Amino acid sequence: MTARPILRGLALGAAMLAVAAILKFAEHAGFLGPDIAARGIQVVIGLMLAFYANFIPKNLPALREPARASARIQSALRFGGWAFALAGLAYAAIWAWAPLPTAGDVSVAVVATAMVSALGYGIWACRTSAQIGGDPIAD
Amino acid sequence: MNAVFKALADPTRRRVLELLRTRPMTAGELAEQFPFSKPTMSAHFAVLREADLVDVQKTGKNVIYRLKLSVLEDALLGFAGAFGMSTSVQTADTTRKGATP
Repeated sequence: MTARPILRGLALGAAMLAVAAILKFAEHAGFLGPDIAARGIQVVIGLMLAFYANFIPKNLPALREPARASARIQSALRFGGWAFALAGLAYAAIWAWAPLPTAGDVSVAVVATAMVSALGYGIWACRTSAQIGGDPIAD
Repeated sequence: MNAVFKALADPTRRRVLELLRTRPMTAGELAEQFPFSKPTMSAHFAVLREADLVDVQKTGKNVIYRLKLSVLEDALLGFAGAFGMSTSVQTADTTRKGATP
């Protein structure tokens, strides 16, 4: 059961390395302009981040009671999913179009912002869900 | 993806998803919000389950529904609401009880 996601991750990693190698080869062979290979692989990384983040809200933990506590955790997952998906798309867009000297710093800042905000929201959701009491089902 | 579009095409099912945004709800709580018969609501729930848009768990006598939307599905639901596909559903007066979705 756990082997399948690992194999999928390994296959994805291999595919990303292959894309990087192909882009580098194409650059050396003169098919691509300078910096295109570096930009290309960063765009792929950004899109992969967005792809994986898309499924974050689908990975629901076991149902907790009261329902409001479960709702908080669910909203944290949704927030994290949206934050990382948008950050991944922004990362890809920055590497596709922004000037190369600034793209590195700006793209990392975008992902770091998403990470900090998702983490902050997650901690808040977990703390408040732990404090919530009340009717187990329809509170 | 076809199942997702089919599920989101119906205003009642979109309204169910909107209600589940607030918190997990039992099938009874959800059904209370609509003027439809239980078999009709069950059919709507089945379509949502088939599209993997809701998570269903049985706790005792209750069947609890939880929202299970990916970011893309969440965005599609938002677009469906924003671009004229209202989540308002028919009232009891205009809906024939027991009609299948």
